Amino acid sequence: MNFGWLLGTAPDAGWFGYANLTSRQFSPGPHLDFWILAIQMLGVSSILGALNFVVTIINMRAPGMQLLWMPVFVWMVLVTQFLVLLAFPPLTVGMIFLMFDRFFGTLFFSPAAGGDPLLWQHLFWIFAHPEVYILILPPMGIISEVIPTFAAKPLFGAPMMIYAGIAIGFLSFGVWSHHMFAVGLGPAADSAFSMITMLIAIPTGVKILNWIMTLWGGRIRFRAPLYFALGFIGMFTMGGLSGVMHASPPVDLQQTDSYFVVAHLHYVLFGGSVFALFAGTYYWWPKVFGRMLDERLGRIHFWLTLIGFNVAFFPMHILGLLGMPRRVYTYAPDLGWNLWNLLATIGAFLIGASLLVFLANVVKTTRTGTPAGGDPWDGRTLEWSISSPPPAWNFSRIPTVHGRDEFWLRKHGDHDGRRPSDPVPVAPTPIHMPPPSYWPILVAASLLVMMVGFLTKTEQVVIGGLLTLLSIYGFALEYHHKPYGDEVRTSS
Amino acid sequence: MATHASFMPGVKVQNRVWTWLTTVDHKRIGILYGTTSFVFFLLAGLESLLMRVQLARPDSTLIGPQAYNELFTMHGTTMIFLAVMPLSTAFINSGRRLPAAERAQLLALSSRRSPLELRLAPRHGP
Repeated sequence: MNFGWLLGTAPDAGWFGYANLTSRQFSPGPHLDFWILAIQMLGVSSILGALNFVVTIINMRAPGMQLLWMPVFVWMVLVTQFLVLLAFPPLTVGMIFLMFDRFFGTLFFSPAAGGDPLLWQHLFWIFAHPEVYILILPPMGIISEVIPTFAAKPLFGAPMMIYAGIAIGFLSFGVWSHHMFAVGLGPAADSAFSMITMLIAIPTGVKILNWIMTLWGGRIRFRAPLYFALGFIGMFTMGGLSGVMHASPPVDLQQTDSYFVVAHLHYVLFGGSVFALFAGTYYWWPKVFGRMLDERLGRIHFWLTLIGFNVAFFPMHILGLLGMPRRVYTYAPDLGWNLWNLLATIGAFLIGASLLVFLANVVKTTRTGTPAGGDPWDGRTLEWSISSPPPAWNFSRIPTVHGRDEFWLRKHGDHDGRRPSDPVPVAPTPIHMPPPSYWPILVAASLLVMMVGFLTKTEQVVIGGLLTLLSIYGFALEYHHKPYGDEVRTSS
Repeated sequence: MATHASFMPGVKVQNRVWTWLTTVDHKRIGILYGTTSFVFFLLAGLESLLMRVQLARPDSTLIGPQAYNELFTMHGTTMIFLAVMPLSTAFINSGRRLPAAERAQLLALSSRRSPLELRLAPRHGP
């Protein structure tokens, strides 16, 4: 897709690529062909990844790990991956229709030939609304790990957090038409979608309440991950409130396609997802790379991000209410928008500066950071019980799980001071490590050859397709040729 | 094909790039996800800065309408599909707690047995 920049023909129809704008007639160059092919490839990779994660989480739990004891992050991942599995196929169907329209002259989205441009909107949004939950549920899971660690308290109402996540997952498939209130689907459809949309605020509110109750009365340690987690709670709540506002169709008719919506979506995606991803970055960085990120630079990063974010996106609420539409490349000077736009630009550059601080932090601590040790945060879950970075084989002996927050139980005991441990200490057994494989990258490369073939030569599509098939077979049958990897003997 | 990750004891590193390209260690795959998606995050951020420069003042002529259309399309698509989604995947791969252990086991298992033999119940001991 980014090849489009190099050729000067980047995709140009908006991220939701509404039908008609995307037809050959209105977008003749290869702009959207890059977009279609790239998103189809991403769909394949997302679905394969989702299958892998679902199978891993359900089948490969450690002994004793009951489903409800799984960390909330893992639960949110599980819900998310089911959403990926169910949401990407409609997008793929829509993209195939669009591909046929553009490459082979079919007319799926042309009313003159009995097609329907609304079909695209339905197919796209029945994907894209679950997609925004795919973007927010794993970050919510990250927050559910960070807050208990830094409050030194178990997550308040952990089963409720899990049920709330599942409820959000189910409801996410019943709200797509709230993106289409302005289309005129009729009062019955509008009311139904509006009500389901407002229902989503309930499980989300449960989650926010539970995070706050986890902090309540805890021994709170203010460290960079917790700063970002608290920023997440505040900013995401603001995004959620504006979301409830345009869940109501009459209000939405005023706000749709205005900067108010741009403000809303950035409050949930940046104030929500990105803040949480930075919380997770500061939290797990020592585990992944074995060195702590600098705390002082981390706080500067946080405050710059928080201020820059609000300076950039809060004025967009006002711009939207003043009537500035999305996706205009310029505006007249006498509309009263000048100040707010200037503020938004200043905020955007503050966010840019905050990222430079983060990069400086990474460069600095990679050279001189304090070594993290296995458990720098007094962690609650088992990944903190192994070294940082973990050895290739992770656990030399898979631990037996006795409850939620197993590692915390082992360190600090339960209510009665009992500390669980592995049942019988046995001599370490050798672990077979899987050998490295060149098949995965061959699959990806040959799929790319095939996709680029759609833009160049038909023969290339065929060759790329055959190569893809071949490498998938090679990948799948590999273990027959090399049943055992090299043996690694662990010391503990 | 016997090139191995450098942190495996007793095995000589033959080619650093090749070990990263052929790795089946979920933690390294997670780092690959994280690095790639952070680069896309910066790229999409740069696109938004260009848009904000254009919109900072009224009647600006820095960027034409066609380039602006391309910028907001690529900003949205890149942020969603290439930055935030795979950044989550990076955490799922490498920041993951118990399944982190289990994924290695899965890979170890799948190289040993037919996938059909994977058990539905939690595995008891390696």
